[in-house]
Order: sequence, then C-alpha cells, then structure tokens
Amino acid sequence: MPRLANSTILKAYRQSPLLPLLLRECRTLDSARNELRWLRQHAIDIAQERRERDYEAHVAQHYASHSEPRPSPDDPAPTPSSPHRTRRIARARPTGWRRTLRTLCHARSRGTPLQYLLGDQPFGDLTILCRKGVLIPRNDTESFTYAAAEQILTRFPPPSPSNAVDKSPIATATPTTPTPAHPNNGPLRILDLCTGTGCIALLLHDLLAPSYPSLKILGVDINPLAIQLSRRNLHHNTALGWLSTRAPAELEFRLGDVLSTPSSFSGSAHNIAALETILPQIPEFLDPTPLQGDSGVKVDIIISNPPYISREAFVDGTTERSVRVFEPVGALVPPELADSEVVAVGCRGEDVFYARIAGMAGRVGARMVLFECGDYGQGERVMELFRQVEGRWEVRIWEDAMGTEGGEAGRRERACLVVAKRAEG
Amino acid sequence: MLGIPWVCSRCLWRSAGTSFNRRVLVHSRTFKTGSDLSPALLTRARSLAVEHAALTTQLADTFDAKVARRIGELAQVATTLREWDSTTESISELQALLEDPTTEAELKSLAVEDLESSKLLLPGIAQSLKKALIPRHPFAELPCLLEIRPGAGGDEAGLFAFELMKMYMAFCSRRGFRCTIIKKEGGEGSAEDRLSEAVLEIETEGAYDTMRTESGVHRVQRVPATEAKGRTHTSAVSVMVLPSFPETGSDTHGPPGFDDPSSDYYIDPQEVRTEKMRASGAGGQHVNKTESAIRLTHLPTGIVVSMQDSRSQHSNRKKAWQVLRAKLAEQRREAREQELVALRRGAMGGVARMGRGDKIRTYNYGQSRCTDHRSGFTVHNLDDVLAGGQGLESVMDSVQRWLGDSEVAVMAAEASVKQA
Repeated sequence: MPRLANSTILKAYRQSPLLPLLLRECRTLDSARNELRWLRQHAIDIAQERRERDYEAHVAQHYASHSEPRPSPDDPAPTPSSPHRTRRIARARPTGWRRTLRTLCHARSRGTPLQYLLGDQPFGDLTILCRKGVLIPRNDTESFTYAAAEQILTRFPPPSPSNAVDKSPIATATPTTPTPAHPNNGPLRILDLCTGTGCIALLLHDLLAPSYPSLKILGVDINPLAIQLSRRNLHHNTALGWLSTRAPAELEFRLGDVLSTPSSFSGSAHNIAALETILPQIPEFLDPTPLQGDSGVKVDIIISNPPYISREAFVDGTTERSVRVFEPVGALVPPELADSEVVAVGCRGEDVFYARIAGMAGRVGARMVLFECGDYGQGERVMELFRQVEGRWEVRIWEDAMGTEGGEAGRRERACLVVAKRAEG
Repeated sequence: MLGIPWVCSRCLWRSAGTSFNRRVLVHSRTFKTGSDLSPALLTRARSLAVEHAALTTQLADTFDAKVARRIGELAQVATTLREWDSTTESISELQALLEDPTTEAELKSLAVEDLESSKLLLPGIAQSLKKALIPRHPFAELPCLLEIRPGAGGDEAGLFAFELMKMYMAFCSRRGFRCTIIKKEGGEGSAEDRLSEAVLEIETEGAYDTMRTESGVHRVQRVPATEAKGRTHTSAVSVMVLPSFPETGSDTHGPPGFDDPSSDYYIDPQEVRTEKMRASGAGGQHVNKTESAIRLTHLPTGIVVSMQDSRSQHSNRKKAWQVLRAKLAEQRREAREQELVALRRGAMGGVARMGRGDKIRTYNYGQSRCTDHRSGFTVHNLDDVLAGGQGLESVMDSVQRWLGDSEVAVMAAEASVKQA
C-alpha cells in the first residue's frame, strides 16, 4: 500500500481533524470526506435516539416518584415541564454527538468496516443490516445481482397473460427458450447458497417479484448468525415497505451445510444438516414428477457467492487488512475438505464450493447457475468445471457493459459473474 | 450658478446617465397589451379552432390518449375564440341596429348601452385569447431538478449559494412541494454553510412550470462575512431548472420517455460512458471499499455528471442518470428553440432571451431589496424573499406575467412574419 503523502494528510487535517484518521483506511481524500459525512450523520442519529430515550426515562421516573396518573399518549393536556422540552428535543442538535463521532472515527482508523459501524449497507433499493461475524455485501455483488436478474428474465420469460402490458417487450425480444418457463405453473424456484446477510436472495425477490406471479427463494448458510441476520433483513425490509408483501411467504432462510452430503454427514464435526436433507423439506422444491435415479427435488436456478479466496491470497496482501481482521474467515476462505466424495480430485482449494454446486446442479434439475468468482482466472476454471459435469452447459463470463477502464490486465484481477445455462434437449 | 462653488463634471454626467438609462429600461420592458388582436393572431386562433373541431369528431370514433391531450390543450383556444366571435358579432349587430333609421328611439338607447358593455368585454376576451394561444411549455407538467452552483465570487458565492438553496427549500415547503436534496457538495473545507454544487429534486408535478422563472444568474451584493474591511462585494450564483422525467415507460402523459429511440429526448446508452471510481487491484470479497462514486459522461456532448452522495453505487447511478437526462433534455430543447431566439431578440430587445448565462436577479443586502431584471419588479423586503416567503412568490409571479407577455409578443411577431 503506497504511503500517504504528507501534504494530503495536512490538507485533510485542515479540513477536519478527524479526516486523517479516516484517511488511514480510505486512502483518498474524497472517500474520507464522504465517510466522515456518513459517520457524522450516524453519530447525530445515535445521540438523538439516546436523548429521546433519556427523556422517556426521565418522564417515567417523574410519574413514578410523584404518583400522578400518567396521561395517555393521545391526551392533549401538556405534561409538566414537557412542552418546551419536547420542542427542544425535536429541534436542537443533540449534545454528545461529537464524542460519538470521535469514537467512530477512531474505530474506523483501526480498520473496522464502515458498515459494521453504521449497522447497514444499501444494496439496490434495499437496506441490508450488517453485524460482526457476517460478510458485508459488496458493491460488485450488487451489480452482479442486477445482471443475474436480467439473465433470469431472459432465460425464464415471465408468463405473459397476467402482465402482458408491461413485460411483453422483454418476452418478445428474447426468443431464447423454446419450452415454457414454468411447467405446471409452479413458482420460479431459486436457491441462493452461502447467502450470508441474505442480500442476493432479497434483492432478487425485489427485482423479480413484479414480473413473476409466484416465486420461491431459499437461502442457505452454514453460519447460524448469518441465518438469524438474513431473517432479520427480510423482516426489516418488508416492514419498511421496500420488499413486496409477498416476500415473507416466498423467501426462506435455512441453516445448512452446502459442502457435506447426507452420507458424509455422520462424519462431519458440526451438527448442521446437509443441503440434500433440507431441500425436500420445502414443499415447493419437491418434484411433482420424479424420475427414477433423480434426487426428487426440483430447482430452476442456483445462484451463489460462496467463499472463494485461496489460502495464499488471504495472507499475501491481495485481501485487504480490514477484511482479513474484521470479517469472518469462514465466509471468505473455503474449508479444507478431508473426503473427496464431494469434490473431484485435483480441484483447487478455493474452488471447492463451485465444484460441489456444479456437480449437484444437474441432479436437482437446475437450468441456470450463476456464480460470483474472485477473478477471471477462477471464472475460467469454473467454466472448465461445467464441462466435466453431466449435462450440456453453455457457460460464459458475464461482461459488464461498462467499466473497462484499467485495461485488460486490470480487469482480469476483478471479480466476475459466471453464467451457466443448461442446453435444452 | 448653483450655489455650489463647482461640480465635478463627471459626477454630473454620471447622474444624468443613470436617470437616462433608467427611463430607457422602463420603456423597453412595457409591452403593449391592448385590446386589439392582430389579424395574424386571429387567423392562428381560427386554424387551431378548426383543428380542435376536427379532432373532437375524430375522438368520437376512436379514443386516443394523444388526441385527447391535444384536444385538452386546444379547448381553451376554441372556447375563447367562440366567445370573441359572439361578442364581435353582437357588436356588429348592435351597430347595424343603430345605423338603421327605422329603429325606435327606445330600442336605440338600449342598443347603445349594450354596445358599450360589449365593447368593455372585448379587451378581456382578447387578453385571455392571447394567453390561450401561448403554447404549453413541453415540460410544464413535469417535476423538476434545481441545480445551484456558485459562480464568480469565491467563498462568498458558495455562501450565497447555500442561502439560495435554503430559500428554495423554504419556498417549496411553503407551497407544499415535495423537495429533496439529491446532491450536495460543500467545496474544500468542512464548513457546512457553503456549497460547491447542489441539486434539489422537486417531485411535485408541474413544479417545472413554477420554477422555470428561476433559471439564470442570481447576483448578490453585500458585505460578506469573510470581508474584513467592510467592502461590498458582488458575486454570482447560477441556478438551472431542469425537467425531471419519470423513471420508465408509462408515457401516457408528458413528453415521450427515454426508452423510445424515436423520441427527441432519447439517450443511447452506448453514448454514455460510466465510470465507477474504484481502485485497481482485486475486487469482490478481497476488499471492502466504501467508494460508491459514479461518473457518467455523455460522449457526443461532453456533459459530465458525477454523484457520490449515497453509499450505494446503484442509487448514485440512478440519480446521475436522472440529472444527465434532465440536462440533455434541457439542452436539446434550447437547441430546438435557437431559431426562435433571433426572432425574439428582434421583437423585444436584448432582455428577451432567458438563458442560463444571463443575469436575472439581484439581491442587494445594503438596500434590502430584490430586483428581477426581466420584469423590472422590485421587492423591498429581502429577508422575506430569502425566507422563501410571499416576497419571493410575488417576484416569481411578476416574471411569469412577463414571460406570458413576451410569448404573446413573439407569437404576434412570428405570425406576422409568416403572413408576410
């Protein structure tokens, strides 16, 4: 990491004494200034909340000590000493926010991710709550989720009769799928593996719900904290009205182990059910017409942003210090696998999730698989993986229509989205 | 001679000059809005009325949203013209009655009374007919974006830009317009009370029509807070009012959307370069950058919009597109109206063009006044104007009136050019 120029630090200090602290993590003045603005707003919000809470406590205490009947909230009669107090609370900038801000800036200078300090991260039109122990949604993942929704809409044209008016251009413009999208008119079944905060599942629902009359999205993660958080995110965004009212019924988050199979289950150290045991528990995922030798479950789309950092890349400086120290390793680096039942021999350590999911995709009848990969090299290895598994797959790396700056070499280092479509017939 | 030993000739000359100038200015700003309709305008009104009738019969057969909208635009012209016709007809009838020698004396006196009252009506009808003839501004029904940028004047301009922003926000809340800040950048330094750029979104429909009088350079004359020696400074803040377009499709009302390649306001996404501000090197899970800035460049025109206020790249991009679309639409409209400008200049002299480069208003703190240079209207309660109060509204109303008058003048000039 290049050293910060003294002149930059001085300039930052002249603007605000807190800026040099943020500069340590942000590295550029512009981004430090933005972070300071967000943190300041957050500090003011916290102080305001604290003040209101204190005031509530004070009022409660007042009534407790004076044994007066407390007026009901909708009672217009003013409470003693309250009229001007409430007004002051509503208007004045609360005291104590500067101290809070200083604390936040010091925490940030030590590398604590901004999202853990603020408690959330915007993701599309949603707000995803974040907490220590669960990976923070990335900007890249956000744009990949938008791309994924677009891919899904072209691959599975939404049924036109119900909303022929607004979606017909898309359906007519893309005659890619000769077969009807939904046999039996069931919901579109999407599996989000290693869901973390649940951001991909939630945003996909937000983007697809207007087009499809019925969806079923299942998010699976091995981390109980993540599952807890993803459920909270679901309720949080539904309560705020950013997700449709269908969301609580159509989204589900389950604790599950993607890497283990039921047979290897007995040997695994933890007590978390394997993916194959969870899927049949969801009625929507049961195959109405199971073939023999099939798994008995049916999923249309698998999307995943699994841990994909190699052991070397985790320690050799490719991974940012703040990420390495503050974010959960389990969400970044795949575990070392002892048995080779799940994954073919010769698979690189950082690719085990891809191998496992690609191997499973055919068995559950998935017609589309979308992966976020760490760089283009990994993306190409994943494409190779799909050539080895059963079924014919058309695999490509999704090209971002924009942002080709930094040249070809710079681009290959970036994360990418691999889209695999099963060839029909 | 004057009781004064001597008078500096330059002072004398200057005072004479100002008074002379003032008189000239006042003259140039008053338009003739007499009762007489020029024949050119009348023929225009008639052709519009004919179109209205034709469209109404067409609508009786098949419903078409576009036709219905056009009818709505023309209805006012048609009804007013009918009123005008009936009034002129009755006047001529009465005239005939008066000239007829066989008419009884009693009837004649009644006719004279009627004639007078009819003649009194005429100017009012002519006025409203002119108003109706003014074509609706293409963006009139849209919400708008208000961009505020300090111009010449350094820090002081930034300070005043902030005050203007507060003024417009107060004005919006008083008028019940929904107003949000979508971009706010305070230049170098952490001082919160100065701007280097701000964009307000006023989401109420028709806000464009109300606010379009505000486009231009606002000049402030005062002793700035940053001035140590008490000198008055003059600085400028430029305000731009842009139409804000609904997000997608559903263009049953308003000008056609941006997704339609045949639309005038269509933007080819290929022509827009999007840049994410991100450091080189690994991405994805390897890093957790909070940089969310987006910069859009429209390649054919070179318009650049950058946005970094939100923590989400996605919403920054959405807002940047909104601003870019608004800027392009305004530019294209201006380009289309360029040919009219020459005509307008001829009709009304230099002040006619109201572009973003022209000084439109002065806020003078020393004299506590606010003067609009287009309508020549002055309010002597600057505090009220800056609080977005009644004062500001009366200034804006005066400009609306001025705009209407000048449109009529242009239209008359245009129509007579066509006839000639």
